[in-house]
Amino acid sequence: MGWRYGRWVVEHPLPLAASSRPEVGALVRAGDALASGTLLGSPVRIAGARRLGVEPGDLDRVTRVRVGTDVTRGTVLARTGRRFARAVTAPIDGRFVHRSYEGDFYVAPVTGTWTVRASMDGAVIRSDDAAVTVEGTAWALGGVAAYGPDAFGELVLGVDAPTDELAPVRVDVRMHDRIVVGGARIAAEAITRAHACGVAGLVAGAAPAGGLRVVYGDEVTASGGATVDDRPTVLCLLGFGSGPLPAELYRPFVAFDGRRAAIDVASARLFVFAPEALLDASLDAPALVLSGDFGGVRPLAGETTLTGVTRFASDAYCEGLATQDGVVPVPNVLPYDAPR
Amino acid sequence: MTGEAAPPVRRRTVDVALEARVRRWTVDEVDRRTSLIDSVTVQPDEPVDGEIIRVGSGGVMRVAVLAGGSADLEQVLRRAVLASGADLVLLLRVNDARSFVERAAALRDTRPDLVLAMVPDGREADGIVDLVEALRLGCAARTPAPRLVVAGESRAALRIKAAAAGFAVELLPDPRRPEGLRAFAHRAREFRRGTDTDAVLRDEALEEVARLVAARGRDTLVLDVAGGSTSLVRAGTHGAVTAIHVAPLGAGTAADRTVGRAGLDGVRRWIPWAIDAPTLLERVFNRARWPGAVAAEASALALEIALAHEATSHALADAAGAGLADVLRDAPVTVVTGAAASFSRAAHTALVAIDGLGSPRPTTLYRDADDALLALGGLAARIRAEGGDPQAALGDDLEERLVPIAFVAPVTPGRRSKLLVNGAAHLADDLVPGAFFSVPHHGIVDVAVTGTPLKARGTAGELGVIVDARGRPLVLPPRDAERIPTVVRWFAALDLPVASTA
Repeated sequence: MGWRYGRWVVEHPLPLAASSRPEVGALVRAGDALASGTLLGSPVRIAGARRLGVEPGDLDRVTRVRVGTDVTRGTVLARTGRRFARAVTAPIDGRFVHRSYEGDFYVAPVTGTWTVRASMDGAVIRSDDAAVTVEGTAWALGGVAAYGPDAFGELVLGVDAPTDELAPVRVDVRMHDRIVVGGARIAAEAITRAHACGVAGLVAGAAPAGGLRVVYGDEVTASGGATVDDRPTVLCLLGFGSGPLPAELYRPFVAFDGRRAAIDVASARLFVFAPEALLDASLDAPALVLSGDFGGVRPLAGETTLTGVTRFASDAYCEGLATQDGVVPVPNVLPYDAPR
Repeated sequence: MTGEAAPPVRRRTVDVALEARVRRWTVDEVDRRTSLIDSVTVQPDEPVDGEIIRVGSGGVMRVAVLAGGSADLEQVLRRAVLASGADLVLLLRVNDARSFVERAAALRDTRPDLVLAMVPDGREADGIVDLVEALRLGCAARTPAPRLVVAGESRAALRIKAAAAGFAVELLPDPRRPEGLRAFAHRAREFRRGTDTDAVLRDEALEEVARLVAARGRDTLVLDVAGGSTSLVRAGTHGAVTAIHVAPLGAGTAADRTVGRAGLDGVRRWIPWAIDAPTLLERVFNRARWPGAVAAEASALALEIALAHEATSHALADAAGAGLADVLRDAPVTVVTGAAASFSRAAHTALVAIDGLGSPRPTTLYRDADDALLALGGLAARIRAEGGDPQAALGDDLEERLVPIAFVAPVTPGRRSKLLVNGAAHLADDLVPGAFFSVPHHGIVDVAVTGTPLKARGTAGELGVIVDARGRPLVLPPRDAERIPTVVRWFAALDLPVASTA
């Protein structure tokens, strides 16, 4: 399938302690701040129900401050209204983060703030302390794995041909806040240089797995993963190592040059916010072929014929498919959008 | 002339899920005797007529554990998680150094499907309640919220249940007792089965295979290395089963997770030629994202064999953490299934089992062909669920499908030790420390080594009797210049060619 125009639902998980988030139905734009909150330090636990002499279930009646409110030292959190009043006050400046089932209060100091940005133009269809979900319409291209935080910016081509590797010298500060399309491969040097130049994100057929380890650490896996910290964003479309882009995937990048786009890391998807009519939707991406040594992925090109059960160099017997690059096992040929 | 009508034939299908496709076995049942007829590999959505039994891995269940600080609990918790086939994403103890907010953030970030709160006695209830509060802060807003399973001392468990307001809570027996362990594994399997309530999980099929083989009279170990999971199951002759199912850890879609645990050098050391780390990692990542990929070249096959080695040894390491390593390593019969049994040559399977398990005891080695034993395991699970006797129904077919490939005899020879095969001295190979060779033989064989306690009987197959004097634990030289000739020698000992150079 490849490029597809349609409605997409994107979930944005929120860290703890959100202080603002949009209402359901609100319209948002990719890149806009969607929700913000505070980073919390080690909280102080304050005896609540016991100190006030009330049952935990009755605490609602005497609590003066809602969970999630910023408080200053001395703020009355709860107070009984008798003649000899008893009160629970915040011992520090911070945030009232939690009230336990047994009636204790937790106030944590604020050590910083966080912001989650939208990676889709559209309307908020769910909004709670765990996640904000946005539904919208865009051109989209799914990849195999993405790394780093979500990215937003204008698309810009960093290569001249779909089989080219993104050369580090092609990346400079003029690409600041843009999403750069990198052809068949983006090496670690190009990734780190792009990050240093303030490039928002990188999209390519493949990235070397070793390079990803250099950039993201030894824990990196083939499934990718979203991070919130300041790291480069990389979307691998076909696989790892080298992945020359088929023309059916690359040509739309040329058409989308300069358009706003977003990389949603959790779903490893690139969204381009452009009119539906800009592209011929019938451009099906060709199938992909995994090389016999698993070293790379390439698009299936040219005439193919089934060869029946074939013996391969590894002694494996399997249905084969004759391609212009030789016979490959049929299971090593998958449609672009096959679940992987 | 009178004739007796032929007994009716009940035809069924058993689908054993592979990574991307399924192995579809046709099964006939006549007079309560069931036998596998033939198999094909098809797409999972390929239509089929009649009754179908699906054997699959089920869904992934991410488990977080909240537990007391006592060190004794560690093994119990690990046993419970390993028996259930769950993915342990977080273990939070009451003495965890992280702050309340950090604990809550960890619980939110790891997104558990199920949280096991283990409260061994009332004195630890306060600490567990604090952890449950962190769970409330971290996950109460999530949709769907994780389920909470509370096990342990009953009064403390009720207190924790009350504290977990807003969560679906279940009380289970203490997993330190066998029935508690079974109950947790059962609950986890129900969860992994999801809406496909008729499905037989791969774990269940493997346990049935182990029971069926052990019922022939000898304790049996089943080693299953699949694309995304690795299992070790031991069954006693009376049907008692000890099992661990480790996911994600395997030679296919979990290849990257296996490398994450073992390290690149851990995997690379089993490959009999030099290969640089970036190239190897590229192959691992591509394999992990290509379900059902076939290793067309020798280098890819070598990678899968190396991954199977490490998956086995790390599953065994997990078993050791749960105090089960010896039980799950030393059985007189070892059956290899899954991807580790699907290599083109039996010798590859033998190397994975011998090196990965590193058992110091002799064993007869079998390997599953075309997932037939797993299909039998799936049938056995269904027959047992219907109240039948799997042994009576499947015993004959099992006998036919169970073909030994080798009798493995690990030994620590002395200076004057001699190998005796059926009483006759074998002098063609030198029995010295470090030796690894096979003696051609078929059928039942008695093996003894003079000057050592080794005196064992087993059944040899196409690989004969494999004599392994390399010592335990198996140590490989770290430098390629010494490592490669060593691994090549082991391959050559089982007549395996080493063709590729990466």
